[in-house]
Amino acid sequence: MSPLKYLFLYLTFDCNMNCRHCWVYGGSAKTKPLDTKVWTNAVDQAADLGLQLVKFTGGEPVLEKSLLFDLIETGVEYTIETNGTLFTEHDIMRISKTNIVEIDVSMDFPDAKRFEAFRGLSHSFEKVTHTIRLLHEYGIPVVCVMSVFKDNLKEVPAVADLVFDLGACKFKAHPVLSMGKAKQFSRYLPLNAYREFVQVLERMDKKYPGKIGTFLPWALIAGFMSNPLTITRSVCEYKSLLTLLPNGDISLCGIGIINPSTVIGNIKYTTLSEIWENESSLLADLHSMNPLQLEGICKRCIFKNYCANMCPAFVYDVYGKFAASYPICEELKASGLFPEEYLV
Amino acid sequence: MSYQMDVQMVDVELERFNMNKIGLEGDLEHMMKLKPTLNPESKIVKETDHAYIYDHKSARVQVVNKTALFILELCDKNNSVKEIIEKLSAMFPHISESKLEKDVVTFITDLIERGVVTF
Repeated sequence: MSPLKYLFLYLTFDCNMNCRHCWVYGGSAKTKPLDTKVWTNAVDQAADLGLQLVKFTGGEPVLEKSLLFDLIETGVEYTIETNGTLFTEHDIMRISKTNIVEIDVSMDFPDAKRFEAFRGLSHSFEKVTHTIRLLHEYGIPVVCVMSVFKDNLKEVPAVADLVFDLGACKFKAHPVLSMGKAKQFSRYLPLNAYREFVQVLERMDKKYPGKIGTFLPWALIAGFMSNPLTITRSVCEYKSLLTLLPNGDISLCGIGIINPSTVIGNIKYTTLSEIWENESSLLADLHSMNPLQLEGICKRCIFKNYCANMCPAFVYDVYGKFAASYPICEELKASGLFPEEYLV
Repeated sequence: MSYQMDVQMVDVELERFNMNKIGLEGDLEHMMKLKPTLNPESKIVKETDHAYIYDHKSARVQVVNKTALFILELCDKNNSVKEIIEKLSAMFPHISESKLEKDVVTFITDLIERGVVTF
């Protein structure tokens, strides 16, 4: 049995922001969180299965601040994905004394007006930039994550400059994907802008060597960059992770909220060991997924062993199964924009 | 083109290949006479400063620099290993022949192990 290395804890789907591109329906519908003991038991169970890292996410996980601190002060190694609007300096001081690996903070525009319009929360830009600076001052690695779409592509360099000036140690720029609630979002990065996006990232990688990351298929990076070997690519560790949703449902990731058919149990009625060791057919499909047996464009791509299909959750949302090809590459291919020299 | 063979092959995931880890095995004199050829199941995609080598059997991709690509392109069943070294020597006269021999033999040995070239 392979180890369960990563546990994603969606503490809540509530959020104080209202982002149109949020894929998990984060918002104001108040959900009652599980008891702290249920979460801590789940972390203990995961520790027995090989746990290396917990990621706290949501929704906005800091809305469940008491629960969050109960969990992070158990000594677990962890990361947090946050919008960065709710931490006080005292919170950050407490975090600095725990086994924090990094905090990911969203930042999509270099100015308050457009950032707050996109994120749907007044006065948030100043709070977020203040938080990034404080995290840095307390020695906490802070990674700024930009959701890239049609209206902010040109702002990638300015956002990178801003966050590095504030003290971020890394800047990641990810294209917004059409999944979950974000299907209603109409301002996706156009297919014909992917080349420009990759080339902007390359310029940033030259300016900030080793500090730029993205979530893009290898073929696009290889095809659109002149020297693609230094940029950091995020990959999905789908064979080594499980996720707990706010109601105790267990799934691969946030896909469990947008596709309830991917829920494989509930922590109130089962244990992570039972889930992990007695694989459901869905989990078995994921764990046995072989990049060499992918379909469509992924099957023909020389980088299939490195991308797999990028994001099984996105693939599932589009095709209703995990082992299909990456939709963005398929669309690029259909539009004649995919670098075909990497196909065999 | 400058001569760069210290780290001439990297996995696309930036796993650096250390050519010193692979020892020279077998009869060196015999190897010098062999004429390597690219495995028909391999694919080379040339870029400006590097090339990707895809091996269909393992579905792995390696990245090679220009010097390594030059050697690889000479693996066409017409050149023996000795002739490849001679052509490389003509191109890089300032590099000692013993270093070139060691580098080329090590590189080709690795390509064989990875299934990229055959004899």
